[in-house]
Amino acid sequence: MKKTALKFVMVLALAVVLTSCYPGGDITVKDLDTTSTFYKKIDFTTPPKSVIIYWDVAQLKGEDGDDIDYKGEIDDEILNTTLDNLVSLYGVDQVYIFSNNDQVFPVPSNPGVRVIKRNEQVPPVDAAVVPSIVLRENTSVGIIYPPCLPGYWYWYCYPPVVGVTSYGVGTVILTMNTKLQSGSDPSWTALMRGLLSSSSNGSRTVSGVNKAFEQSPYLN
Amino acid sequence: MKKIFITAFLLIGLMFNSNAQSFWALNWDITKGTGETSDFIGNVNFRGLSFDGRIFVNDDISVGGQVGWKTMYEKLTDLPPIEIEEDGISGDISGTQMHYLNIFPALVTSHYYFDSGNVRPYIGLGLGGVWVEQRNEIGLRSFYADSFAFGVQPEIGVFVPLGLNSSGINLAAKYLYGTSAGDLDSLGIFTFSIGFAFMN
Repeated sequence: MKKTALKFVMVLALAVVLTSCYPGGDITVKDLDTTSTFYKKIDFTTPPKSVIIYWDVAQLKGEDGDDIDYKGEIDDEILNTTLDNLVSLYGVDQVYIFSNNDQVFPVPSNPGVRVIKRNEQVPPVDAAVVPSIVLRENTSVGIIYPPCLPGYWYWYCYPPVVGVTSYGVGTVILTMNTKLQSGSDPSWTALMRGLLSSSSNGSRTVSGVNKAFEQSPYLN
Repeated sequence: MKKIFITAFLLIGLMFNSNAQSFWALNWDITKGTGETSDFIGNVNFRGLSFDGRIFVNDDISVGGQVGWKTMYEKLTDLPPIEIEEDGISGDISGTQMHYLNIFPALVTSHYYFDSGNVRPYIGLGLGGVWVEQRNEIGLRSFYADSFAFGVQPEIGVFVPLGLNSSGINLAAKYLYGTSAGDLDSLGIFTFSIGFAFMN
């Protein structure tokens, strides 16, 4: 009787021990989404008053053809959610869209924002925002060179220095370069991790981009 | 702390080789944090085990040791971002946070038993060390800290014999306090234990 009871207790104890240490069966893919924002304080001693957004999502790929298949499914959410937040921060008159194409796509959510085409003079803004997305796991893309932004800042032709070293596939990146930028790294970088990993990518993208601006009160 | 562990092991060793009256219990521990521990994990957790060994020095008093392992976990959403600062770069990370605590107390204990027939209510006190491992996981990032703290644990309980043999049910309520140590705040854990026990 005593031995049987002891065996029962030991089996029960083993069951508890084996499921202990790091429980977490209720963790979903969405729970792994994170929004990280990084900024250089010195670059925001005088926050920007006007901004231009590059109306394209730069695709950060590896060199081995092992990238995930992406056809811009969440470009609309990335660009328009970013645009909405910029308009909210700086006002519709101080936000510009730079489009490298004559056909502006996706259609901007705010028709009041002025669109600058590639052959037009870029107004003297204080900052530029460039969105990008990582399509390769453990990519090591150093610098992305989107087409030049013709403006009076020299770096408009060498903008968004995206120093990607090891981000998960599907990470959406927003960078902001400001006039006060110190060094080559962007003044502000937002990383929305894991947005290309399930069927609910659109709503998660909106949520991630909104969160990035929400936790960056120093932007204006 | 090292001396406490050595003393605890010696006591346990003596118990195994003793013919004196003894008490052994393997308990399932249900835990709830209090104070700063509750700020980190506030819910009730059901993953815990403790092992009690006691030897009676007379009819009413025992000395012994207790070791345990309690795992606490809570998934938290809508928390403020975690602030980080490194090399002149400031940052904030937000997302669902998974909070984990693994707590390993090793205590030297003493208990007093009230005389009420076969059912033996008791009160006790444990002193010793508590190793605490704390982990906060957010996305694929993990913030880890551990500490080894001094611990004290008051306890009330009762041994209820089953049938005529020496086995029975042990029920106990304990409060484990661990001092602040290393990067970790002080520990406060309320535990309800239910276990199989043998008293002879």
